[in-house]
Amino acid sequence: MVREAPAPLTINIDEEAAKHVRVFAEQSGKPDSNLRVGVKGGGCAGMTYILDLVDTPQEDDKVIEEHGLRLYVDRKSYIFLAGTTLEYSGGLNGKGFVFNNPNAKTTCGCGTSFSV
Amino acid sequence: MATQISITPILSTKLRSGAVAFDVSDFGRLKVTGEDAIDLLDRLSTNDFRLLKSGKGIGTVLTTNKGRIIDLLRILQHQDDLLMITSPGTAERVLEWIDFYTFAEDIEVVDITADTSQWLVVGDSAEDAIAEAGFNTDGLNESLSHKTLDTDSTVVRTSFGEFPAFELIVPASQGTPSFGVAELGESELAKLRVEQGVPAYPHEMNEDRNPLESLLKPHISFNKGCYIGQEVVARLNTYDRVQRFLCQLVVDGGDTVDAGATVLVDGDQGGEVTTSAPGLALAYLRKRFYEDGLRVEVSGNGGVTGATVRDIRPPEYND
Repeated sequence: MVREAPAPLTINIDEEAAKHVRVFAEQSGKPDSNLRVGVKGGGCAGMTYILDLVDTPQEDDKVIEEHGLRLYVDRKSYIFLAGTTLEYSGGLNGKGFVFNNPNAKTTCGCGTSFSV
Repeated sequence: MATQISITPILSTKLRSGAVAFDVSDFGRLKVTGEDAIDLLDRLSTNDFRLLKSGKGIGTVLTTNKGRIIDLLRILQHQDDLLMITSPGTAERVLEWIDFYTFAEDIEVVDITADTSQWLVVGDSAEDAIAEAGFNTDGLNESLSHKTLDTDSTVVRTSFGEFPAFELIVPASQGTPSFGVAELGESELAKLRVEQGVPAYPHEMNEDRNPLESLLKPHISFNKGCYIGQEVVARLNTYDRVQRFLCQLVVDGGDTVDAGATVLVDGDQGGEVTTSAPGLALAYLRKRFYEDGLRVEVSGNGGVTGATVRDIRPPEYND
């Protein structure tokens, strides 16, 4: 029996989240911008997520394209974000972008930082 | 309020009329530069870096996400960079920790430990001893205020328990300063530390301890916002969940107890000795037993010895 090779880990954005990024980009007067996704040290649990609208990638960024949007991720952040899906939650528990990150072992009480 | 117990703090008595010097070059010294240095260090440690100004300094605790101690750092703000002083032997660990949490930040940390030496002068006449060595202390009025002289030497006002102290960081090529006071060794520094209730890495501060039990509350800001470990440290403080505190033990008969010996309270295990000196020891003691003047027993390899607890918590613990 031939086993299928596992799909390479990447970072995904779902359609709803991509749509909201576009809306924010338009509202910010930067309709052609794309999304920088990353991690920085800090927050109670150790690492916090970064989202930013940018025009161009930085040198050595990984570029991922999905739903007509480009995600720019620096190499070090990618290590901690591989396998993550960026979603958008519009529910009663809070509205905004949600990182569904399989690398996160724990998150802090407010959910904005994680540890690996 | 601590009660007065008769002890024979030999070193401390000397310091009331004079001063002694210690070569503390085994402390780590890291030079930190970069536009994001202060912002990143503020996100990684307990104190509020808004307090930092040129010529001033702060103590801050690098904590894990479980609120445990990596190290107590002293940060000195120079004109163009920061000088970070670590505990002996921890510079590499601190450097790796900062590197792990550096993503896109503009920060460079260079270990200058081997290129510099460091001296600690403690006692009521410490300032005179520093002047004797040719270093000017004018304008250094508060703890961790400092200045760099044209010899590339940095003079820092500090304190050591109840005593005034100065530290001197000089290029290694400049040789040994002459303070005109007795220079004592590592074992005497350990004794003085026990006499003055000063915690040190790794004996009292390590990754099994949180900064509140290690009496490092003066170096914690409770309103600065998030840093790694903040949620745990804030919860321990707000809900009074700290399980033990560091105390001093005055040992009967001037005996020396073993580091690692068990502290017994009415036969119950109450804590553990961390550092010992003749007639005195530092120990962690469970909060429910923590009471100034409490009689305890210390059980170690040398048998069982009586001792009396001294509350050495700083005023920040009176809230």
